[in-house]
Amino acid sequence: MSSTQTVDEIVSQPYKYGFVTDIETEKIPKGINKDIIKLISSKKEEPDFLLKFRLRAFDQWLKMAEPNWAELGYPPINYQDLIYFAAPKQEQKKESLEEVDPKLLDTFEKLGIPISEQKRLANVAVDAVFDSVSIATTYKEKLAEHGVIFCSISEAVTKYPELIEKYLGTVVPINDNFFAALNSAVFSDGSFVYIPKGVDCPMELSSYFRINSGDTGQFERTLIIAEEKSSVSYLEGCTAPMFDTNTLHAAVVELIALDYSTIKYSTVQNWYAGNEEGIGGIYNFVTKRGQCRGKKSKISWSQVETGSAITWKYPSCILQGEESIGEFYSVALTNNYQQADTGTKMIHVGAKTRSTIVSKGISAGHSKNSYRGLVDMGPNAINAKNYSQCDSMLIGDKASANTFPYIHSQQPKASIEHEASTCRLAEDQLFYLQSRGINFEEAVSMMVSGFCRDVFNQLPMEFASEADKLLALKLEGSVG
Amino acid sequence: MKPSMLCQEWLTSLSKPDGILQEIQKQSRDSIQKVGLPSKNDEDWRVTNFKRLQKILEIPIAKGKKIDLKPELNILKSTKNKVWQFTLSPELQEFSKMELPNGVELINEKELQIYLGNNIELFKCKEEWSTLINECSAGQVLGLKVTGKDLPTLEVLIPAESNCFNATRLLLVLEEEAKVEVVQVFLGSNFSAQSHLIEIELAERSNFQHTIIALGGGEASLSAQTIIKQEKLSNYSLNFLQSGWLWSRLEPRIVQINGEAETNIKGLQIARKNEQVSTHSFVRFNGPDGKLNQLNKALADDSGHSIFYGSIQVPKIAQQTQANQLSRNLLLSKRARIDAKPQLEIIADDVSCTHGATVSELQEEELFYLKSRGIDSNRANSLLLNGFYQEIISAFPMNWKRWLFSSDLFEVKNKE
Repeated sequence: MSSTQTVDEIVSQPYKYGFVTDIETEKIPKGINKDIIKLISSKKEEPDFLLKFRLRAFDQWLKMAEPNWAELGYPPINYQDLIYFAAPKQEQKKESLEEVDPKLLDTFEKLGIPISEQKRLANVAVDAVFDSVSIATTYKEKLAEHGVIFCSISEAVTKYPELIEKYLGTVVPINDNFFAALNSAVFSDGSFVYIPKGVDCPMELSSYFRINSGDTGQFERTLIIAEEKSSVSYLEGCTAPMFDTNTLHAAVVELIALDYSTIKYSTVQNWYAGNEEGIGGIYNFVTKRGQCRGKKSKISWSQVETGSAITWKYPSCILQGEESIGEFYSVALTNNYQQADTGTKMIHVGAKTRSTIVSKGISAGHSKNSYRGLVDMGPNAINAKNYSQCDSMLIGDKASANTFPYIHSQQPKASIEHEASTCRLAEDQLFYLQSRGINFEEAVSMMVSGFCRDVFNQLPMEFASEADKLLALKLEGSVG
Repeated sequence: MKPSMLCQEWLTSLSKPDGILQEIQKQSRDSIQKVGLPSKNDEDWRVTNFKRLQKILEIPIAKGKKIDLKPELNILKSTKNKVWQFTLSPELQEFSKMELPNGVELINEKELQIYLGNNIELFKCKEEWSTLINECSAGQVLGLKVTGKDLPTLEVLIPAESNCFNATRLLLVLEEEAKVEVVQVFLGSNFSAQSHLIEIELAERSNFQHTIIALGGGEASLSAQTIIKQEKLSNYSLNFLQSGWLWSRLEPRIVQINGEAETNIKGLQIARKNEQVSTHSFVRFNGPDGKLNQLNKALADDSGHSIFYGSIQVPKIAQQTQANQLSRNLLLSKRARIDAKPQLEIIADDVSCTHGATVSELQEEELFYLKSRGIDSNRANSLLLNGFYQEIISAFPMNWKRWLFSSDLFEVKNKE
């Protein structure tokens, strides 16, 4: 069938962010040990408590084993062969954007990040992280007027150590899992957001992560705190250059929502996924967790996963506060030899807590796409409700789609509903669209976009259209 | 006692390998020493009550004495209404003297060697604990071949010798176009433990109606491994009820070897008091056009714990598969627990697979409606519960309720 060929052509579009910026970077020696951790900590001029935090995490990490329960296959990672800190070589603290290396700014421009002030049209404040170091945060002053703190985590460590000490590691403890422990020991930079009481953050906050060096692991750490009656929407985007080797990315994201506050966290992940033979690409082992501590607080995760060779990621919500709400909307697309094992955990602790899970998985090529979720109703989760839906779409007969929803309930007054389905691109629908004069590629893209609509509706406007395009791009050439 | 020590002691308490299963006994006893007891690290066993599992190995092996069934259980024998009844126990029986209905043949020892273990091999579950304990301890196997169509219902009673470990094994082969209904009744007794292994082979166009009624009572435990191989165009329906076990685990494993077959599973499991009742089902489609309909209902009350794991595998070859699984759970008490884990693994792209799961208590609105019609709370509860059960037990053979001599299946405590 000719359509098969067309689809194949469509899916095999090149990765357009695969360039390397030739910029001088400062790296520390390979490997991980206490001295390296002390070195990272001293380079970042960190207070004592943080160094202790890192060392404690490192001790824990040494005792832990890499998890192997996920439906993922990859060669063992040599953790001593990685560089744990890389920074563009120049003074770290810059007063204005003029002082930043123009090459760097070029890179961000290529990526389409509105980092230079004059080009910024969208009402989005950006924190850009390049390899291990946060380069610039825009719109700072405007945010400061409202009392919102949005800066790199290193800056927060120096300026607001009391907040860091109070909240860091309280949602994802250092010994939570292997990768979280590693991150806690060596995390380099990331974003810090603090929304004070009663403030609705006036603009979307956004951070952009870029891995540039080939042999560097990126370990960023994000901490978002929403005080009482506040709200914030945060976007995260990621890209990386193309290397034949695999790059490790092990991030930790912690969200804390207090009484009546709302945090919306959206991710469009477009790391380099490796080539058609599955060589290269990012290993993405991320721990994301939000804690609804306060009454009627709400945390909403929405994610579009298209990149990285391996994804191991379960953005979760701990619903502690009474009547708190957790949401998870996800589209995960895998192509070629990508592997994704992703899902969520909704831990209902408090009474009348509610959670919604909508997960859409699309697998094409030889990829593996698994949904793994847990809904746990604790003994005090009276009248708690959960609704989960996970749908998979298979494109081609070499891809696999797995679903592992796990349900645990100890509260009779709680109700859980879960449904899942698997389908493929329906030929009759394709035929119908084509008979209306829509070309094959467009028809496929429309159908995929329709399949994901529930999730795209949850994304902030500017992201939704980007995500749509991204999916179409990623699928090019994969439909057969 | 350490699990490894426990295993060792259990093995020494078994009688020497002997009889037709001699080789199997030897091999599996070697394996169990290597594999040991399951632990929390095995995903399939993660939520199991390991203390109870270990307890099973502490129960003395049945001597094989004749078990006297309560006379009321044999009512049907005298009525002669198309039921052939047979009691299977660890006691060494001379199967060749058995009177079989027309259309059923005994599989002789030579033939048995051809069939035995085929299905286990197919599922690579030889080292699964449920298989191992049976192969280590079962002293004999009853093999039956069904050739006819118009047969009486075969009723296989599997009572347990009180306070003993009872191992039994069955093999059923259905020839082409054969059709049969088999009812297996497990009856626990005091501190008894039962291990059962049944292998079923279904040839093309055969039809097998399988009912398992497993009633514990007392502190009894049960581990039942059911392995079914289906050829094209065959039809296999399994209806089961598990209730009243201190610890029980039913493992139906079904493979449609060349697709194009139909499988129906309807299960009801009830965990009350401090019972732990679990079902772990595995269905695999090794060919195109297969169908599966699975409905698992569970109820957990008091401090009961109900577990359901349902795995469905659809590899690339199994195009046009239709598989539906639904797990519905009722949680009626604060101390009770429910674990449900459906698991779908799909590689074929032209398939339609769905699964769903719900956990809740009885619906307030429904109760309110009944009460508004003047039905008291207790009665309303029990009506709703009855409705919940009905979808499963309506598929059971007539007269099945005579086994419920001591069960409080339909009773609901006042939840007000």
